[in-house]
Amino acid sequence: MGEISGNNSMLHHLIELGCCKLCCLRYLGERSPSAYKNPVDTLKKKYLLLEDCEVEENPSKLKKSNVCLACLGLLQENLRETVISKIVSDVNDADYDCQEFSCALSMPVSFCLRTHSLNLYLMDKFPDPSEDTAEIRFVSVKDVWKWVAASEIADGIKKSFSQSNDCDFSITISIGYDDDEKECNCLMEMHKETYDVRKKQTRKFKDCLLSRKSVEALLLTTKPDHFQKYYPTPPEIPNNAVKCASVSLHHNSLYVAGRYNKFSRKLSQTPWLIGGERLMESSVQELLCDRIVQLAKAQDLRFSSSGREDVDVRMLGRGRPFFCELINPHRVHLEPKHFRAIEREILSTTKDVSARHLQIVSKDQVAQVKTGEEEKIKIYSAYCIMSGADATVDWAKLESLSSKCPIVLQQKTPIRVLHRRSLATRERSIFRLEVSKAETQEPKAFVLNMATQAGTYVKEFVHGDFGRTTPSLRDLLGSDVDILALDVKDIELDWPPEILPDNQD
Amino acid sequence: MTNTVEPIGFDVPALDVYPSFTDRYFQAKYLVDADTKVHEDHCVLIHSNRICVVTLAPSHPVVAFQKTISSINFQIGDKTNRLNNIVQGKRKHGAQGLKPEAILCEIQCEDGLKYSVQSCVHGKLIEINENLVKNPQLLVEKPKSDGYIAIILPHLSKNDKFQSNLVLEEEYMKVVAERKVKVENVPHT
Ligand SMILES: [Zn+2]
Repeated sequence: MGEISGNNSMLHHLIELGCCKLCCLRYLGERSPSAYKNPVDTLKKKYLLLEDCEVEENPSKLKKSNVCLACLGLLQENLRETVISKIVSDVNDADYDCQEFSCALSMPVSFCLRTHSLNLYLMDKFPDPSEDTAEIRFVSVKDVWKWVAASEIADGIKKSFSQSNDCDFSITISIGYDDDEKECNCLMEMHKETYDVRKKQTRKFKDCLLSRKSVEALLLTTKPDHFQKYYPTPPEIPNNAVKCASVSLHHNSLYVAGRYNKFSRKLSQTPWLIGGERLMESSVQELLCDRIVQLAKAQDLRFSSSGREDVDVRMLGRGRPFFCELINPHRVHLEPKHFRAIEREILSTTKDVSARHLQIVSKDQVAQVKTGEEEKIKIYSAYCIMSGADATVDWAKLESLSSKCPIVLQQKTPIRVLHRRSLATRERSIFRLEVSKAETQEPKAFVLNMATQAGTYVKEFVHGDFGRTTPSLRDLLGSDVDILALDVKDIELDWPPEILPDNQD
Repeated sequence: MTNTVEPIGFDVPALDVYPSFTDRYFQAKYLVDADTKVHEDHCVLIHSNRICVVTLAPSHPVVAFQKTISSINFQIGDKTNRLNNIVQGKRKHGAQGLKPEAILCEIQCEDGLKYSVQSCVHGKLIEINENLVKNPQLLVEKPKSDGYIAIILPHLSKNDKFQSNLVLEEEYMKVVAERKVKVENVPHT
């Protein structure tokens, strides 16, 4: 019985101080979320709140419906409802289709001070028999706010509340407080030396001299009597309540992968901008991803692929594996039929690219494609011409090259990329090399079919790049040869998984 | 539903003579009478990415008279050896800096004459053609490809300055043609 009566006197003291109902329960250590649903009931039944001293009906015992000194009004009914309805309307306006949400509160810094002050005061006045710290003994505002607000938000936005850390959709509520700066100024005096030093380190502490983290850390090291010299314990009744400064919404990235073909020799992989000006009308990235971004209603995207081909190179065969990271997508329930529709749409609107096997992939799968990049073999076809007016194709010599494979090359960074890549000599291998007749009427032309190691510069292998790639095809043939067209025929990487035609609906 | 793919080469226009790799990717500019030494013309091949390849012009005596080169010396003064140039990273850190008048090398010919080659370009030395050390005659045989002397990353803000000391192909051809007329008109002594 000693505990209940102890609690009862603590309860009356909390009311006396100006704590709201929920904060009373917090400081009484109430850990059952349901107890907060009907706080007056709980207070009466469990904590023997007596007589007419009902919190609501008889405010005489309270300091006249004041703003709670512990939660700055956040847990008080009026403000709580205002904040919740703002969250609900913001989330509904943003129109996310995910099923779960998590939420985080960002509190003003002066809230740390108040909590610290009240903790010191109550621990001193009502010592805990089990000698727990204040953090263990009392329940935090954030926890209680979630207990009382989460289900209401969930009903309002028709999503279920998740306590998990890996929930993809998060609502962050920033709580603002007009008197924050005023209340925090005492810290500058309380820790004068620290702040004098920090004020000088303008780069490190620019705009965040009083970050919540640093203040919390500082308060842990502050002796109680020192603290009390600069800040009242218990804290004063606030003049203003906090308010909801902003609600920010974020959904983790969604990854959509596939393979693409490129049939144009005048199309760059990514938008080609110089000084903000477009050099080409479109790009592989835009032709493939614009519709995906629209479908997912994403805020932004990051395009990535397993290597890239030059503007004037076609990507044929099975196509090149790629993925796009959709940043903050509002639609995540994308179905195979949506992807098939996008593939058809791309086909009907452009002759330059096509996409297949579009699908959602996990972050782990994305990591796979990046590690596979180094090992993959690429298959090329090159349209080559013997240079010079009287040059002829030496078929016998060309055909004899197959048996020399693998041909190991020493390639200096090609002149054509030397302006943006570092200079190095790299060893690369041509694994297979076969010659075939060109389908054009040109007698000086032939087609070279090759399997090469990733990172081989094929154009330079053919013409030699002023003797900077050795041996080159020119060296091997002993006469000048140039490459006038190049196709990638395959990238030997089975990623992402193929979508079989049966699955198309 | 697949696109029909045109066979490779169908979009390549057929020509009687195809331009060389050099002609396709580089614009040639010339430094005429380098350092006021008559006829010692240089050629700068400027790639579409602005990288410059320095070499001798066809009218340079070494090339024009198909001289035999005994050696090419890349040691400039006591301190600088162009072959010791080391560059790092995309920005070519550590490269030897070059002004247009800087000497890249000296060509020693068997006929006893010596010619110095200038950078022509304000920029960073990326690479000296090391093949010239073993095979200096490349410079005579293939001045506009494998016999190049150096690759330079031009200093962009100083780019205009060096452009003015160089002339375009057309202008260069004119100068060379005029020289021939002069030579024919001057009686030999
Ligand atoms: Zn409160």
